[in-house]
Amino acid sequence: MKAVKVMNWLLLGFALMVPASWGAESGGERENTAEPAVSAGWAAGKAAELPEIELDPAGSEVADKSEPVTQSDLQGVRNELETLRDQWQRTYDKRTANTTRSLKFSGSGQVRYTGPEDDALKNGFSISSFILRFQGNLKKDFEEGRNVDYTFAISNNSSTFNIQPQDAFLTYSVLPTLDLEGPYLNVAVGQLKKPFGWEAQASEEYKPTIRSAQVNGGTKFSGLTNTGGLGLDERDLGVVIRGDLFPHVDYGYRYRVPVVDYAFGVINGNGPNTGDDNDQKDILGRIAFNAPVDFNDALRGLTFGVSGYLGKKQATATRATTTRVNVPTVTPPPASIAVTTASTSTTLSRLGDKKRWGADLSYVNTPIGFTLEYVRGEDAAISNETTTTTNGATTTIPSTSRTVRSEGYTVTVFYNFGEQFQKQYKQQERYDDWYPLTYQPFVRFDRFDPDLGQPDNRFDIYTIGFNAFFAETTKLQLNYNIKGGQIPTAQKNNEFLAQFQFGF
Amino acid sequence: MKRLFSGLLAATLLVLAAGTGTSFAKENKPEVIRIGTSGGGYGKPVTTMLLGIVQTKGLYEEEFRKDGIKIEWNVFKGSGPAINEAFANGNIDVASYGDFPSIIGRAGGLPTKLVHSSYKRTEQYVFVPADSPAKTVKDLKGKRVALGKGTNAEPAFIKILGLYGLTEKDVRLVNVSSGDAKAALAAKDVDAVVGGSDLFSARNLGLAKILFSTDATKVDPDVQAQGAFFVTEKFAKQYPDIVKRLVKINIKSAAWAANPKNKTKVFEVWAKSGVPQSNYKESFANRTIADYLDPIVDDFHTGHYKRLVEWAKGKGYIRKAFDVDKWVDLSYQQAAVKELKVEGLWAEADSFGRPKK
Repeated sequence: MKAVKVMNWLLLGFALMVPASWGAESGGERENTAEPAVSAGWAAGKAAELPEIELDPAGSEVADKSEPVTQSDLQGVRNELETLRDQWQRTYDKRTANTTRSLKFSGSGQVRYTGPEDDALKNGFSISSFILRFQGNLKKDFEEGRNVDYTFAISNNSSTFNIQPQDAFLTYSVLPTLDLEGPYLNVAVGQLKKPFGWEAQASEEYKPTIRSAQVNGGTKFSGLTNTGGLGLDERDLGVVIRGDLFPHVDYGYRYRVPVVDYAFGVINGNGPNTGDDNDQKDILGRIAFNAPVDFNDALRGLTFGVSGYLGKKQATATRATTTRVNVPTVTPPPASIAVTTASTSTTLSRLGDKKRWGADLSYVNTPIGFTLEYVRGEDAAISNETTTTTNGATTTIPSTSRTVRSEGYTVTVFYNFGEQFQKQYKQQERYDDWYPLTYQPFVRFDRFDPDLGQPDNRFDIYTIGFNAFFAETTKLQLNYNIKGGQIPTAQKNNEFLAQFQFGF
Repeated sequence: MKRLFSGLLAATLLVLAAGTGTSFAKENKPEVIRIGTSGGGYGKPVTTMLLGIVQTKGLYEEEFRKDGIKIEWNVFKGSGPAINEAFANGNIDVASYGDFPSIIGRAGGLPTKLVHSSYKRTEQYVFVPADSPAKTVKDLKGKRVALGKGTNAEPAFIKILGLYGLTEKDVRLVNVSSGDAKAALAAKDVDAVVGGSDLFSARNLGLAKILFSTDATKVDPDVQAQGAFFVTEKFAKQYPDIVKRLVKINIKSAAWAANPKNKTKVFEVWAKSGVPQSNYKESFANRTIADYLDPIVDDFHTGHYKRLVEWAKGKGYIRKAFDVDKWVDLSYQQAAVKELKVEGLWAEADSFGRPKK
């Protein structure tokens, strides 16, 4: 102990004698350079004056009494490492799956319970969605992140277990992705989500409701005529470019928000897993403006977007031809019955316009958020044509063209409490299988009128719901849907839905 | 159906109650103290520095066990920016982290109090690949330099560039977490990495060499980073006695670590984070742990933070400056020092880091 004290004194004395050297290369900003302040307490003998600070019960620490490692000990460690290496190699050779390029499996499943109020409808469980996704990298650019990535996903049909491709596209990052302060731009080719609207593009994680908005086409009500919406939920085939401009970066939170997000595409417009039904391609896009604020700003998460879609579609109807003769009957009073002697039915189609316009306003922050979305559609439609020949006299009701105008909107307000949506909070180490918990009560109003030209066909759905995110990729959703609007009272069947969604 | 709906509502309320129950205190004590700290870059939920000692030895747990208060350690891979995010969202009550992210957080409105220093004069190193032709920092002009943006390394490196007549516009800064920095160097994805002594391992493996060290160069002490222990204003107001006990444990740990005879034990504790002891031995070859873990907010500490606030405002990292003196609350530190009878254990320095006469 004395030797240590003497050494400390010597060190202190030496430190005080050392000439100042700071700022030697700093351009001399400081008026006076000096040596660092030495914590002289212990060195000056304070240790002897101060109470001994002990943090551990006696014997609980690793003491400095350990024996030196011997050659024999080292050899033992080497042997152990060699054994482990051989075991690892054998396991790798026999049981490890290999791929040519990097590959990540992921997916999600939804198990749903539907409880309709109408006794005529059956309640029960269903697998509403099962998606298996393969994603990887075909070319990795380590310097700037101009990567080529691939995605392929298969999903079940919502009503059957028939498996079909859902996503199948390649993505090339045209601009660097490693620079937070630069704009991003990538091009995707294949079958993918359409760049239209807010909810239709949102991942399942951010959709509070079990059923998608009616206007997007995701709602299939038991007991209610399904209109199919405007098909915005569907994937399509084509080319989509996505990018952003003028990013604002708050390094204090590692938060990046671009002032402008944009996405434009050229697609078939005829839905997934099928070819086009006409020679003209559809163009669509969305441009969104985000509040360029810091992370800890009340306006973080405020976005306004507008979307447009201009395309062509084959409007279809039925052309029916019927030939009849009147045959006298023998039973008085004298009369006759019509007997069909021939009939044909063919499909009548005509190329027409398909247009969509949308606007959305969203605020996704902690703890309160809301989304407003409005979509208006115009679709070419033609009526059926009928030709009837009775006793040689022909009557034709010709097909007529019209434009079906539709509109829908949703208003969703939610309240989050928990950590699920905090990226950095989830990136921490724990000894246990830790995951953040989040709860999200919400209310939603969803209105859709499939044909503004027809009276009494507006559908309203009020949803009261609660989501519990109880593992990193798992949530339990409870929805109670109250149906209303200008539909027959018999179809106003409220329903309770419970869905367990898990991801991996 | 009415019964079904009622059942749904009841279930909802139950889950709501279960979810929020943890945030309500039954008495004037929290059910849990949530601590934020950096680390985890090596796959271990163990931090280093002052809180590394407290965590590894279970000092908080031991102190608050009798009160039934749980201790929750949040070891963020994302370093300071992740701690800011956690503070902003009310996920943590106290934290120890570096000067730069903490002033960005405060300037952005984070309601925190700086209650004591947790480290001073952290050495910063610039590593380059072992076969790099660079001889000085000046040779990095136009090169890719990796560092954790928003962490202490960023202002430190910009100041280091200034020593060589360069600015951040003369290099290409690449944002890389400390855990990825070693891989980036090994793969030569970047031309240099700015970091701490944890990267000595890369050099020891022959992957890198040290181009610049604040230790070797004895530069302006503002180039070296400092850190502090913070508490949210809400927690401090609600549980002042709890904060007092936390600070007392921290300062007691700093006093224990300041004793030269405990130097090896401190390295053993820190090595649990995954960084070899040899790295720490080398890093502390010419300095004391007492200097490094000096918990006292002195003129040097506040002076450093004040200059950094001005620097960050000048560089556009923060929009408005704030009063550091109003941010600092010395009452906890002063009470702990007095109770522990460790007055004068750490030498105080003037605003520029020179020993007070």
